[in-house]
Amino acid sequence: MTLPRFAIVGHPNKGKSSIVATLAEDDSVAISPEPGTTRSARSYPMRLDGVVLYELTDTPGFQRAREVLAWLLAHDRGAGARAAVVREFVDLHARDTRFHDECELLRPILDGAGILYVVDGSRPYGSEYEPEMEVLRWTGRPRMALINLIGAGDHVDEWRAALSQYFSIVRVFDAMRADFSRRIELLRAFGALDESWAAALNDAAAALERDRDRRRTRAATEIADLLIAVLTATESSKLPSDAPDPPVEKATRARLRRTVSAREHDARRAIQEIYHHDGLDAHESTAAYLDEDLFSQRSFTVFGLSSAQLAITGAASGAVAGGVIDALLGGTSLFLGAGIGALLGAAGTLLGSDRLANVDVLGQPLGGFELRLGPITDPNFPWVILGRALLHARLVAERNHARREGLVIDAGRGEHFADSIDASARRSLDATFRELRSNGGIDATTRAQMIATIATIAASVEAPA
Amino acid sequence: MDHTCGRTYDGAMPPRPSTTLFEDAIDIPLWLERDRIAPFAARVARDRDIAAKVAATAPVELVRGWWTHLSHDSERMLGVRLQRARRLVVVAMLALGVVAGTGVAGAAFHYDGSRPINVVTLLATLVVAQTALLALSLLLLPSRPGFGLRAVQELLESINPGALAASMFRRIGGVPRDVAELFGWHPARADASGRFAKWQILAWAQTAALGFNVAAIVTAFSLIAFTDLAFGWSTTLTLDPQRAHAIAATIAAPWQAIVPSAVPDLALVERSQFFRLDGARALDVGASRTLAGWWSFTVLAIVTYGLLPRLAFLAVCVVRLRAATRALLIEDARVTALLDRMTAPSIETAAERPEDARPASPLPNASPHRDIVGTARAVVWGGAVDPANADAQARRRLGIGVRLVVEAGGGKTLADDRDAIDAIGAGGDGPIVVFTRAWEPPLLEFADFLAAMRERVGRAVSIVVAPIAEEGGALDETQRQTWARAVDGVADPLTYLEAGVT
Repeated sequence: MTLPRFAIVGHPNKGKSSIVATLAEDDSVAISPEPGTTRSARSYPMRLDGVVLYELTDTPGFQRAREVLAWLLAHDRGAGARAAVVREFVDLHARDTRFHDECELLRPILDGAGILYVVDGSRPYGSEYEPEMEVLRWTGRPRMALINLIGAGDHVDEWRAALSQYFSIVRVFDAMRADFSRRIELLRAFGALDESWAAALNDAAAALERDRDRRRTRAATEIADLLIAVLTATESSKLPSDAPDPPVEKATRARLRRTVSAREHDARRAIQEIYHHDGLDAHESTAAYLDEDLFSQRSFTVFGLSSAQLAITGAASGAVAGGVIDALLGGTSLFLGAGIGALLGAAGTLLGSDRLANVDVLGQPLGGFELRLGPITDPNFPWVILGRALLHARLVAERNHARREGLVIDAGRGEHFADSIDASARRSLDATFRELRSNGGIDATTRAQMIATIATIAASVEAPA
Repeated sequence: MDHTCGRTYDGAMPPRPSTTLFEDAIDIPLWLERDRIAPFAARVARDRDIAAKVAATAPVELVRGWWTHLSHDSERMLGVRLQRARRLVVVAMLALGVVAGTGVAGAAFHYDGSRPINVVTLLATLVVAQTALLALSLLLLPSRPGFGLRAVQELLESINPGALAASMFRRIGGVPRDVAELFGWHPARADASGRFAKWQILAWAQTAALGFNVAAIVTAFSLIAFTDLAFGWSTTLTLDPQRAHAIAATIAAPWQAIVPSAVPDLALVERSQFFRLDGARALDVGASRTLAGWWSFTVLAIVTYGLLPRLAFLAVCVVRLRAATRALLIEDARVTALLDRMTAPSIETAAERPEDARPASPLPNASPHRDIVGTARAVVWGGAVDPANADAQARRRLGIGVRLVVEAGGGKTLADDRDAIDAIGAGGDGPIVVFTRAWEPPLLEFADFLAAMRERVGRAVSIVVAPIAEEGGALDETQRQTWARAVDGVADPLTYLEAGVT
């Protein structure tokens, strides 16, 4: 089985590097509106545990295609020798700076790569593309045309008609907006170029899909650990007496907020790294809602549960506890346990909703007093943290590596983000939040359940709208 | 080499002698916490690389095997320091127990000849009290207690000698805040650190208890061997010798078959009852020799009900502490993430070498074309405009008419380009306007064409490059910059860009 290799070729500035950046998930690919940014061929092998499954090669664009074609026509020895004539051209002009770009782009093709020819379907077709398509045809290698969509225009049909004259497979692929499933779909489609490549490409696609699931679980783990950390976070300050000391309390409160915010920032960075967006600038990565102060009213409004949902969730958890009583009494309680539990749960949730954190003044065994602030008891707080983290994770997961601008979110989807979480998942998480607050920690099994629940929610919010 | 956090990985470091499980459980998570600053991809590559060199498959062994592949300065690791301190605490607790056991046994076996040692008091002090304390210790075991039991546990935790040791350890040992919870009771009872704390404190308490019992037995033996003791029994309760004998026989049941001589017979019980009010003379004359017969009973009672349960409980604590230490390591979120990195297949898709990209050229100063007069010759490059509209375009953009229009570039051949240049050259004087498609990048073949045309028409003729936006609209900023750079790259003082008018 030969290694599937693909050369991404085409006119300058038509999105070749964007397609490579998207497929290879590599933020380091130079993408610029200025033509000729790519100077030399650059390979992007896909390795699974060190074994290369396929390889993409980004190339410079054609600069003097008509001259190349003229040379080829002048040296034509018949259809059977055309690939050899192209090779002669490359060999002869290897040191000729005038044809540096053409040699760079033709060399991987002559070495066995399949051709992925990229055009911009948002701009009109032009006959100047025909010489370069003709040169590619001379190589005799399997070819696929990809219609990229850089701008807002739509000339896809026009392009499709022209490209079909030179390429057996023509596909539209929006490099800037392609999500993971479209990338995998395209990867599998590459197999149509050469039957012997299909198995390796299918293996690669399957490995990437498993990796995608793993990333989602890793991101969910980061979110779960963030929740565990912030729901158990406390700050303390020494006090000379047990009398109230507002300045010390204020300073301690500020420290607790900074600790929680820093932990949230760490989790975001970790999630960005999981999705290979290491270079995403911290400020750039925070869209308007995510930039909002974690403790602001707006954050609580957008990301927390609505008062009704908060009451329902609290009631549901209480009802579950009451239901246990009913079960123990074998139903002889006439299911009053669940009803009372629900009432207590809802009341507890609402009463606690305007109080951020516990404040205790503790006597110390060796003298003195300690002001201890935390853990944060506001029932909506974990939902705010979760909502913000899920939104960030979704934006990062969906973010295309060809994009260089900041994250953009649909403001309309932000309203009570946590309300969109499935009711059973919400109940399960609420129970875990309560355990965290009351016990100061959870065991490994509960943590694993929490991660699984968050991963399921993340998968549902990642799904294309 | 990755980075310095006490340990580093250079890819070729041979495995070094292993550290203790406790040290690893402390140091590995702390090291991994600091390791979070390293790029995720680099951590994945490193951990996957080490995983390939570790033979173990069980999670704990896999992680500890990974740890041995990182070179480190062991003296700088917190685990080593805490392990030393832990051993010191064990010694201190043992010493505390020995001192207490010696003191209590010395007092319990104290005999000044005025009256016999009261076996009832002795058993109450060295057996019943210990059994009660042990039973209370067992109340600490449930990890998810109900409300009532939780309150009892909190009370017991505050008086547990192990908790005192933990408190001293935290203060004297300078334990960092993030690991302090491992040595103190705290609410996270279900968490691995809670389990570790519980078994560590219980193990320390049992160590003290063990020292107490060993010291008590040694003290008792010493007094029995090196002094003459007399035992009797006395209680305010109404207890006849038959009933007292039955109780003694029940107490002695565990060793009755092995050491029958250590079970007091009814005669001894009857003869050794005394009342302090009666004084020593109340006992039978000549009973002194037989009263010593209680010693083996009392010593075996301490061994059976004091030493052996503590030994058994200590063994349980040690086993459970080891399990808790393993859990402390393996249930740590950072270690779980490490295992994930070690076991998940690594996928790399990025380039192997850095991009050899051309740096963006500086944006040239806008150089508007100088006033052009007369009638122009026009080149339509790549079908930028309909040749029939070239005159209208030139009038609109430059305010001059066009008397000659030729086509080049795009679908034309190189021979067509040369013919176009010849036609322009032969087309008389006046400026030359070159219409191009603004959205297409200026290729080098376009620069070739401009150079060839310049050579043909001479240095004194103005050439104006006029990119035309799609459907005649305005150029966007990117297009304007792109063409400005291209015209600037021609380095010809009489070649201009006309891009500002729609």
